[in-house]
Amino acid sequence: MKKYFSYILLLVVVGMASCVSRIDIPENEESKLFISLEMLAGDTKIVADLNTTNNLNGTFPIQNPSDAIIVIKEENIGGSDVAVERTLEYDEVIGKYQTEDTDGFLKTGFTYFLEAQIDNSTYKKITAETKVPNSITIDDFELLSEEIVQDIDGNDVWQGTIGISLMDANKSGYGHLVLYGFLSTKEISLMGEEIIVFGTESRPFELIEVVQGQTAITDIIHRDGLFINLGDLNNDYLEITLRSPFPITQPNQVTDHIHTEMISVSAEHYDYHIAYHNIKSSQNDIFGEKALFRSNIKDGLGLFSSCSRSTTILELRK
Amino acid sequence: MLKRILFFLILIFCSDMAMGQSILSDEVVISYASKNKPLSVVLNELSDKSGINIVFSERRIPSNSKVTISAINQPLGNILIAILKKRKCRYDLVGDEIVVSRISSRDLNRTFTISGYLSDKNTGELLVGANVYLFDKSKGTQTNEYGFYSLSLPKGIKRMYYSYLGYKQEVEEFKLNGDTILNKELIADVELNQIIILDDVENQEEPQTVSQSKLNLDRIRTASSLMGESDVIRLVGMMPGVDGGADGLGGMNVRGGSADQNLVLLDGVPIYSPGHALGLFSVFNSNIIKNATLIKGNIPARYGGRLSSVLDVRTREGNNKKVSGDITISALAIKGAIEGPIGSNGSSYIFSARRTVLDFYIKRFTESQNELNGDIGFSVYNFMDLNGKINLKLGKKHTLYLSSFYGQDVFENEKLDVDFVSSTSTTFSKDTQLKWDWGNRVYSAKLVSQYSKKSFGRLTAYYTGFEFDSFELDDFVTTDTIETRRVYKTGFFKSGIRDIGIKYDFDYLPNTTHLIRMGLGAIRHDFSPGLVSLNSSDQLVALGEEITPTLVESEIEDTQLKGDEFFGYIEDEITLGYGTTINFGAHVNFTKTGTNSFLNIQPRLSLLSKWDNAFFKVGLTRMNQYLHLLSSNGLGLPTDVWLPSTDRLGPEKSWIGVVGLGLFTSSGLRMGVEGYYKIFDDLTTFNEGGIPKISADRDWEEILPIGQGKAYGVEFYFDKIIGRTTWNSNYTLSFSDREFEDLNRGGNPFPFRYNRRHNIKLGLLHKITDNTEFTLNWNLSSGNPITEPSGEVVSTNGEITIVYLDKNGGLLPTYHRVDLSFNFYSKYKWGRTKLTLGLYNAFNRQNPFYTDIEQKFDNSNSYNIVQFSILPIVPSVAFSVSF
Repeated sequence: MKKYFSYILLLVVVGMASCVSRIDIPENEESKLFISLEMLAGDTKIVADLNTTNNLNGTFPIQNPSDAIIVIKEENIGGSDVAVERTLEYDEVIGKYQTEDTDGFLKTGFTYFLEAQIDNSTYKKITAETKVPNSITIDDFELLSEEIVQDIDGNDVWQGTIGISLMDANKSGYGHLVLYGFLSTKEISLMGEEIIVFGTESRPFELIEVVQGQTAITDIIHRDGLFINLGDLNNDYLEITLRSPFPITQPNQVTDHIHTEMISVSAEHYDYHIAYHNIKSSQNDIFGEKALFRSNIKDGLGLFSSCSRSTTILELRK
Repeated sequence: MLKRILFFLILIFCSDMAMGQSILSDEVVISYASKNKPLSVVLNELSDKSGINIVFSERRIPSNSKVTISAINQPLGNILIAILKKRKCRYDLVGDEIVVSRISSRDLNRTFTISGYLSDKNTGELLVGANVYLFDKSKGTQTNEYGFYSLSLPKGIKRMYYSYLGYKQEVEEFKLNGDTILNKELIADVELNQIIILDDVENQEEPQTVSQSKLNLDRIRTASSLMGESDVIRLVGMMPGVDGGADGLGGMNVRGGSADQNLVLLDGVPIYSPGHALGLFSVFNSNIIKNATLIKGNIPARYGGRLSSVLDVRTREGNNKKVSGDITISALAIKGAIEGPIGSNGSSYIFSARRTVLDFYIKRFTESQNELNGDIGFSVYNFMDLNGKINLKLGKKHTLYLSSFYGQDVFENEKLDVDFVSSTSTTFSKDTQLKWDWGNRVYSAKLVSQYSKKSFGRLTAYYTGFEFDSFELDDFVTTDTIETRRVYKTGFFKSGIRDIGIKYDFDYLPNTTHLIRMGLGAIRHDFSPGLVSLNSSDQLVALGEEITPTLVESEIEDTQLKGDEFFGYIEDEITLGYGTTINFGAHVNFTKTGTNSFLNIQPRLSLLSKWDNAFFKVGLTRMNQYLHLLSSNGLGLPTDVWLPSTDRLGPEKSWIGVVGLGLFTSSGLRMGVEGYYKIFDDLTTFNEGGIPKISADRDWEEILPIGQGKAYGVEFYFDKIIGRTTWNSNYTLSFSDREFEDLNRGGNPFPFRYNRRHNIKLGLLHKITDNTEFTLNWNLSSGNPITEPSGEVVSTNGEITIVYLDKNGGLLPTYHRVDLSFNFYSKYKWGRTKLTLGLYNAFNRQNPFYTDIEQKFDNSNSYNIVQFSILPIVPSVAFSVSF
């Protein structure tokens, strides 16, 4: 009787157990072209990474087509008869499309249009547009505090908190702030003056904390900067704690300079990278919320964006 | 002349004696019709038809007044009242005769108050929300939450009806010539037939106000049961406009609102998490529930603090006449209650307890299942709750209620999967752990005072708290001949909310047309959210060191947040005559958050017009909510966290508009349609990506998105009683969207996760014999919105990533469930027994509550949608004994 009763209860437990069923993804899910094309004004190359998407049911795996036609056209403001455009060619070595014909091509405030297609294929032609943003510059900065701390390996390393005031022509732009440094030592010159001698290798500063302007988000792809939405900053002011990439190994080693690249990015560039940051954060967080992918490509997926850059060296002890 | 004086003396004497007598005219049921016949002719014909002598003087009544009436199988008294009232006449019983006379204008203008308590004859339990009304419904009221009623009526013969769902209706006819106290004891139908048959439309949920549904104990006990546990929230889920989530998971969602927007009250005290087993069962043990009221639309001003609905659950006081109790053993749990009198002045107590009995078997079963798969591990789950209530009569006018509730859930899952690959001499071990621990605590003291026949007061002090802890670990260790590598993700999430509140409510009935309620209160909310999410890069432990819940929890920053809330309200329910009732008022609350303060005045207005067989209702409600619930996926999982309003995250607000039309007949038909439109403002939720760290010194509130939403829909219902069968059916068409600036690709609106576009529900209760009944519940609904993957891409840094493009852009498959049960009742000298045989999800439909994506083993480019369902067909048996 006891055994019989046990079986009944076990049956109930089985009934309560979760049921899992697996459903095939329909084959009518289509595959698209996926492009990653970030243009930086002043760069010597424009590079595009073009792939196809996997529609998840196994019928269209990811491929890297070499026969696509990718054209970028400049906005025709003056009504010129000659369209300004560049065609990107496939480079088999790197597996990407590129052009080195960039002289005078990317102009601030101009809109650029992308068209990419593979003739005689089932993939739809993709289009997109981007407007080259005005530059954002560092207006002022201050060293708020500094200390010597130990890094994870037990080495002494410089850590400081700096405040940065930004200048944004649009008052609502997006930036990508990269901070890096060179190994530097204080030497006495032949003239008897103190001089700073820089090494040849540059490394990004480690971002410890965004003290003010918490909406700034660490660049998860390049891991050497912050994405900033100036619309979210109070008085365009940012306060961050950062750590030197070079542990102190020499008695005359100093951290007196922070090299910065303030890249003004278009809205779609910012959105794409923030979304990607969210996706990765979600995957690494056991409680993470599912994040959505952003794309500004019509009939496809990916990013077509434009950026302009300004560089500044912050001299911490003027 | 002498004869006439003698006649009236006899009349007065006899009518004074009529109170409490058996009413002859009620016992005579006739069918009668007339068209434009003089009153005197009609009275004579009624006399002939009924066989009762009806005496009148043609000079003292408008005997030539033309009467048109049609009555089928109606008590003679009802027919007389219907005829005479319009003609300012009345009837009185004099011996075996009925005497008809004119009502004097002096009698008409003079009013007296009739008041008293309605209670259960067997147990002495006070009946809440029972109807007390004149035959023609020209005047009526309901008992308040302490079973008290009060009515002001003109002098004269009165025929009063006392009715309550599940009880035999009582009729009392008496002459009112002074303020009168009339306490009534109603007999429960279960005492009469053992099975409740709703054989009278008056016993049904006739609309008393807009968008309210009343559920009493017997409706709850006969509702569909899961594993032998009947449940109030499961019954509420069968109402139109209410979505009970996926088999209960996801909580209760009312008319497109989220689960946190429901004010769930246990004897007037909020309960923050009303579900056991993530919502499969409610925390309300049906043994102790007296009744429950669901308010979906027009929320009276006395309720506040939530945006969408109110579920007001009241517990019983306990039997104040004798010691009694019951024990139920079901497949899920064992539960029992005991109750009895304290002294002889009507004081009583009731205690109940419930505990799952499955944990031992679940643990053994899952251990053996893991062993079969070559793994080590187990799962275990249990819940328990304890209720206690003591009511102490402090004289005739004061009662002190002391209540407590304790509920606790524990879920634990551990699994260690070890594989050895001999070709590479590599050992892979995967340790997964999940530990959830959560529960509610409620303690309250309430002093109820009756100041007069027209005024009531309630002073309540309470503590309510909800805490949960959640620990998760995924730990992978790879050991080969060269080295050992370890990759792990772990997290500890804890959230608590504790309220200390005090409030005072005052009810005043200045006359029969007004019921004024007012009150004041204050609540101190204490929040203790904490979260830590760690992975291998955080270097929490060294290789070989165990990751324990205590170790991970110690990484949480201790955070205490506070919020104070003050509120007041006033409402007036005015009976305008012609069956029209207006309820209007305002709920005002105030809170201060850092540098900001919020004062919200929330007007409430509803109108109900009732005719003989129809009603119309309309209303507009403003609500606000100082509490925010961050829910990671709306499933009611322990990653949900309650937070206060802050300077940036102000109170959430809503407008609710409702309009409805219904028909009901004496043959048991009830049908209608109701439409609603809701607007939500200042909602908040988790941001996309990693969950922000919430602590007192961090700017987490800057990261959380703020948004809005709207919900609208229409509900149809059709209920009918046919002989021994009660049929309830409804259909809901529902739309609900949310819009947050930073969510869904820059602020595009997206469907609310727990909205089902189409929803059909059917409930059937059939009395097979006097001791056996059959119930069927059927639910067919659209699938819930869900975020579906759109493809896989190589992203900018070369990683392959599955992408999701539209938040809640897809739909889960249709939800379909049929539940069946048979109840067998037996009555003995010592008490009663009930045997329930049930079949939950009789068609074994695999209703999904969650889906995910999984790569196929044999093809790295191909994926499956993995669909998780929780409850297949579940047979159940339950046996209860009441003594």
